[in-house]
Amino acid sequence: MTIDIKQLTDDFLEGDQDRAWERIEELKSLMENSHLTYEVLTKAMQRVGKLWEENEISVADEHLATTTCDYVLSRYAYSKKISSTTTDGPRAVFLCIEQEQHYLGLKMISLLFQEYGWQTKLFGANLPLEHVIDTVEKWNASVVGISVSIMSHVERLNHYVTELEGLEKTPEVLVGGRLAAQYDLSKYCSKHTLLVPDLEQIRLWLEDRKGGEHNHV
Amino acid sequence: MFDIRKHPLPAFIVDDNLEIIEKSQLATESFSSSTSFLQLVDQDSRTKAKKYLTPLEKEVEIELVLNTIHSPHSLYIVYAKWSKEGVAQIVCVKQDQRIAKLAGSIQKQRERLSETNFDLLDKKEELEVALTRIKKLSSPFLPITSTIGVIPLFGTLEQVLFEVNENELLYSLRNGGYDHVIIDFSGIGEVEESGPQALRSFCNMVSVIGVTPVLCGLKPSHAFNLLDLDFELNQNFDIKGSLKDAIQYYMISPLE
Repeated sequence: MTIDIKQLTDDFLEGDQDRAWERIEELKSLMENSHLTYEVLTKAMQRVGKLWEENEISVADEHLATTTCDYVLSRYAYSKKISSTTTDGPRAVFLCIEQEQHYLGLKMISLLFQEYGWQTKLFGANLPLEHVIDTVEKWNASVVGISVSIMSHVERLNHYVTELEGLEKTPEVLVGGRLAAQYDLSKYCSKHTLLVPDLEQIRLWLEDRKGGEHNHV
Repeated sequence: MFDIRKHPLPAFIVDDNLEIIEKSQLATESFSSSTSFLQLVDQDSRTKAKKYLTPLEKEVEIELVLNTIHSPHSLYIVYAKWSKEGVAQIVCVKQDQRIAKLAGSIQKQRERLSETNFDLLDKKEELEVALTRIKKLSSPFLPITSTIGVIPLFGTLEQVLFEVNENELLYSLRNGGYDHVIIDFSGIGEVEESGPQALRSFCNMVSVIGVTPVLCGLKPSHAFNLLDLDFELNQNFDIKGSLKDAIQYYMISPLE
């Protein structure tokens, strides 16, 4: 059995949290594999974006869909007991470039990291870079994930990458988000920056890290 | 003749390539001086703009993100109407920031609610564990002599009271070689409907492993309740008044 993305999208647009959740919950494959669930949610939200492009829905509808999807995501994380409660895992910080509201994808990435035993901090939108840098330094984060989804903000990415990679204890910078999937953002990054166009890439990266850690032990 | 320059909103007259022919005063003030309307549209909205802003769509109303001088990312509702000559009037109405604000606060409230919701669920689970523990502690087994044991019951007489400890109790009784087990009702308050049946089946099991159950500490209200709920007292039960009486009786004449 597979999930009907169109129906899930409709639930999101109607704000029907319970029905959307049931659709996820009744599928064993989704309840067992978080990356599959995240892919399904992403597809539904991409469809929401497409409907806006086709002039079928308004930005207000999109807001409702986002909130509903966010609820389903939180509930999923709760039911799978995914949380950042470990105190000895490596640390990662996630943020959107200033003024971006597209945090859903970032939330999924953060959850995925948590599942792999990482401690994470997820910054909401509109957080100034200074604050991010302060946290990265104080909290000793080894990874910073940046999401970019809006073209007019992409110029700032370079500034973020340069500042973060210039820190004394340089964190690894991962750049993802909608734009990373659509365009080659390497000209805004350094040769150390890792571009992760989709969730699967991040999952593979995490798998890889897991293996690496085992080797050290 | 209508003068578009005095239009009260940002308005444009464009040709079928969306090249700007004329615009209102407000359009000049809000947007950069570009020759093409498409240039004012945010990159992510251009596909949509190209699709719907054509003479094929005679009259259209769409949401577009436009790059204004003050903010590079503002949401507008754009109305376009085409004439037979392939010229369009485009009027842009800025979307109220209040919607965005509202969405923001709804989001915050939702986050708070979900946190509370999940916290509550956590507490509920903790509570369930605590309740089971309480039940487990409500029917302990106390060995009094080598032949007599006491099970003081606490709380409500109900099925769960026996269910949670049944195995441990039977195990202790069987391995200890007891003759009598005194089930004390002094600590029992209410009697639930499921209670008498559970008590009976527990006593039957106790008898099967060769231990004689003795009931004591029954209050008049227990008696009423037990009888009401079809508990037959004329089964093989020894019934003694208080726990003290029961212990004394069986300690003096342990073979009875």
